[in-house]
Amino acid sequence: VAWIEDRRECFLASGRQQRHRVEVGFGSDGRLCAIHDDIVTDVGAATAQPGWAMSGLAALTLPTGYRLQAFSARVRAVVTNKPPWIASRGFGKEAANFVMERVLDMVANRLGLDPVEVRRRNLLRSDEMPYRTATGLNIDSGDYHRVLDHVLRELGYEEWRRRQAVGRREGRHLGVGLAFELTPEASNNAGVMGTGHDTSTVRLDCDGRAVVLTGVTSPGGGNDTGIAQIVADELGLTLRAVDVIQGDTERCPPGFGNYSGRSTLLGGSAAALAARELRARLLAVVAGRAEAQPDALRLDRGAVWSASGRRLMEIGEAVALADPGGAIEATCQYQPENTSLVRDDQGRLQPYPTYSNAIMAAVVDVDTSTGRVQVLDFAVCHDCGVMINPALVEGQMRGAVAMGLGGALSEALAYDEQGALTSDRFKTYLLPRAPDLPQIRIVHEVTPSPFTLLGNKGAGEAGVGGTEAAVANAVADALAPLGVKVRSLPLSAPAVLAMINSTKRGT
Amino acid sequence: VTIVGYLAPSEIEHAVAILAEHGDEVSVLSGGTMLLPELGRIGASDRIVLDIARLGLRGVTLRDGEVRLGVATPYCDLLEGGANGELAALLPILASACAGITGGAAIRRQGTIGGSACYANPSSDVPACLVSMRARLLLHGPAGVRAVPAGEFFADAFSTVCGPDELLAEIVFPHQPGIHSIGYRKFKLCESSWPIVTAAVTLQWDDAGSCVAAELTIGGATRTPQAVAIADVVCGRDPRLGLDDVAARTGEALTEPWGDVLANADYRVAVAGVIAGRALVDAAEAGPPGRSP
Repeated sequence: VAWIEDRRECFLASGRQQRHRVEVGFGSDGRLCAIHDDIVTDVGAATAQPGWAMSGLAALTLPTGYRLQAFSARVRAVVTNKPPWIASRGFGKEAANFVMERVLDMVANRLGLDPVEVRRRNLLRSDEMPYRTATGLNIDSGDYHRVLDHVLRELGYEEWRRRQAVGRREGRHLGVGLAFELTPEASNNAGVMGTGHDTSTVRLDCDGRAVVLTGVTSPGGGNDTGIAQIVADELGLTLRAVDVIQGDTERCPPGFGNYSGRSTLLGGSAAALAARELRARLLAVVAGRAEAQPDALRLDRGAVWSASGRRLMEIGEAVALADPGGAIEATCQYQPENTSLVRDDQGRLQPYPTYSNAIMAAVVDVDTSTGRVQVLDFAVCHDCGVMINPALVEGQMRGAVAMGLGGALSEALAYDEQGALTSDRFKTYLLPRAPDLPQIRIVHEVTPSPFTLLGNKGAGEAGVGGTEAAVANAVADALAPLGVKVRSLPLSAPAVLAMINSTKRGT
Repeated sequence: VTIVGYLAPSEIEHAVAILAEHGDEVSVLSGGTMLLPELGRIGASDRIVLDIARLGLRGVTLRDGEVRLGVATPYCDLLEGGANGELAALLPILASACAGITGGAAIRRQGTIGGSACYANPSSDVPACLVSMRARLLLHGPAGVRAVPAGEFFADAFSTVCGPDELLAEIVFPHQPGIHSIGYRKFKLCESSWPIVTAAVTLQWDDAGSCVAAELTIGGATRTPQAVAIADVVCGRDPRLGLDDVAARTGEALTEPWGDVLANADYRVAVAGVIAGRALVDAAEAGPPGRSP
C-alpha cells in the first residue's frame, strides 16, 4: 500500500478549538477555594477516531497539581464540519494548563501578589502525596516546590523582574510568565486501546547478544534506545549487544504500541522483568558450575563475575550452559500499580498510574506598536522520575517547548466561514524556526514514582501545555500596565495588537 | 499535477516561440521555490514546464550607468556579487531585501528576483523594491521587446501585465544621480512568515547635507506596491522630525488595503505606518555620507 498525501491534505487533519468559561473562588491569601469550568469543544466531524474524548481530558486534568477539592465542570463536545480533532503530543491535556495558569495569575494580579507566591500557596506538597485530585486522579509523587525553586533559579527570576522594572521606565513591555504542567502518563482503560500493560520478550543467545521483542512501538523519540539500555543494564551487556524489534506483529508479542508516554515505562519495564528472569537463570547455572551462591555473582561487561572480581565466563558461554540449544528467552507483562478501573463512591476512575510534572518560565518582549512577541528567555524544570536516557528526555522536552512556543505565538489552523481550511502550507501555518526560539534551558528534578518498577514516569508528551501557558502569562504580565487581558491563543502579532487596541477603546 | 512536457531552450527566441504556441499551459520555471510546491499538489491541472536556466539570464551587467539584472539572478548574487560587494552598493534596497529573504541559504541560492517579480505576491519583498527603485522590466514577446515600468508591471495581487506569450528577461535599474541613503524594513509575524508589510525609503541629500528629496514605497498592505508622498514632510529638516507625518501619510495612502490568511487588511494598515517610520529613521541615520544627521 502506498499512501500519497500532499501538503494541503496533511493540513486537513486535526481541527481543534475549545472555550472555557471559568468561575474561580479564592481567599484573600490567594488560596483557591473552588472552580467551575463550562467547557465547549469543537471536535470537528464525528469519526471512529477517539479524538473527541480529549474534551473530557480537558476537565479531568484541569486542577493539575494544585490543592483544589471543590471543582466542577460541564463539558459539551460540538460536532462541526471541520476535520476531526486528533491528538498531537499528548491527549488533550494541554488546555488545562492554559486555563489553570491564567487563573493563578489573575488571582495574583487581583490580590497584588507575586505569581510565584500564589503558586507556592496552592501547589501540592510532596508530603501530601499520593494525592487524589477532585476529578479522581491519584498523583503518585512529585516535589513541585523544589521544581519551582529550581526553575526560578535557572531563569534568574529576580534579575528578570529587575530588568522588567527598568524596561517599563524606558517604555519597553517585558513580561515574565510561569506555568505548572502535570502530565498524566500510561493510561489504563478497560476494553479500549488504552490498556495499562504491555509485553516484552528478551532472547539471549550463546554469542552474548540479546534481542528484545516488544509490543510497544517507537514514534521516533528513542524509546527503542531506552529499552535497549534497560536490558543492557539488567544483563550486564554493552548497548551494542542489544537489538530491539518493535512493530513486527509476526515476531513481537501482542501489544498496544505507543501513546500516553507508555513505551519505555511499560515495554521497558516488561523487558526489565524478562531480563531479570534470564539473569536469575544464568546466575543459577553458573553458580552451580563455580560452586558459588547465585547472588554472589554479577553480570557486567558481557561476562559473569565472581564476588572477588574474577571473570568466570562470557555471558554467551553461560547461555550455552543454561540451554545447549543456544538461546534462552523469557516473556513478561508489566502493569504499574496505582490505577483503578472501578468507579469510587463519587463515580471517579483512576486511569493514570504516574504523573510527570514541569514548571516553565518564559520572558517576553512585546512590541506594542505591532503586537509582535519575542521570547527572550525560557527555562523549564522537568521531573519525570528516574530518567532512563537524559539526552532523549531533554530532546523530547526541547521539541515540546518549541511546539508550545509555536502554539502560543504563531501556529493556527484557519478556516473560512464555510469551514474550509485556508492555512494549508507552511507559509500560512507558521511553525517557529530556529531564529524565533530562545535558548531553551532544561533542568531536572528526579522524584521516582513509588508505583513503577524503575521509578520512571514517562517522558515525551510533557512540555506543550506548560509552555503555551507560560508564554500567555508572560504576555499578560508584559501588557498588564495597559490593562490588557490574555484570554486566548495563539498570541500572534495581529491578535495581540487587536487586544491592545480593544483595551484602549474600552471594549 | 501531470507535467506533460519539460522544455529547457537555450535561445530566448525559442522560449518565446514555445510561449506563443502553448501560452496558458506553460509554467515558467526559474528558481522554482513557488512553482515546484505548486506542481506537487494533487489536483493541479496539467502543465508544460519551461525552464529558463539555459537562457543565460543569470547575472548583472553595467551599461550606460544602468544596472541590468538577468531575470534568473538568485538573491544570493546580490549579497555576494562583485569583488567588494559593489552590487549591494549599487542596488542597496534590493540587497537589503535579499539579505532578509526567509528560508535560509537554500532559498537565497535558489529563488530568483525575476521569479518573485512574476509571482507578484503582495506579501513579498521584490515588487515594492522594484517600484521604489524605478526599475524597468523587459518583456520579450512575439512582437519584440517592450520595457514596462515597475509601477505598471504589477497589475493585481498575484498578477502582472506580462502576457502568456511574453517572457520577462531583464530588469533594468536606472542610475539615480546625487547623494542617497536608504532604509528598508520588512515586518514579519515570525521567521517563517511572508512579509506582512515592507517599507523602502530613499532620501536624497545635497552637498550641504540637507535632505532635498524623499520617497517611500509600501509593500504588502495593498494589492500592488503603494508609493507614499512624503517629501514635503521630510525635506529641509532632520527627516526624523517627520516621523508622525510619515506614519499618517502612509495610513492615508492605503485606501484599498489588502489582506490574507496571515494578516487582514486592518492589521497591515495599522503596522504600515510604524514600519514606514522605522525605515525613515534608518535612512535618516544612514545619511548623508560623511555627516551624522
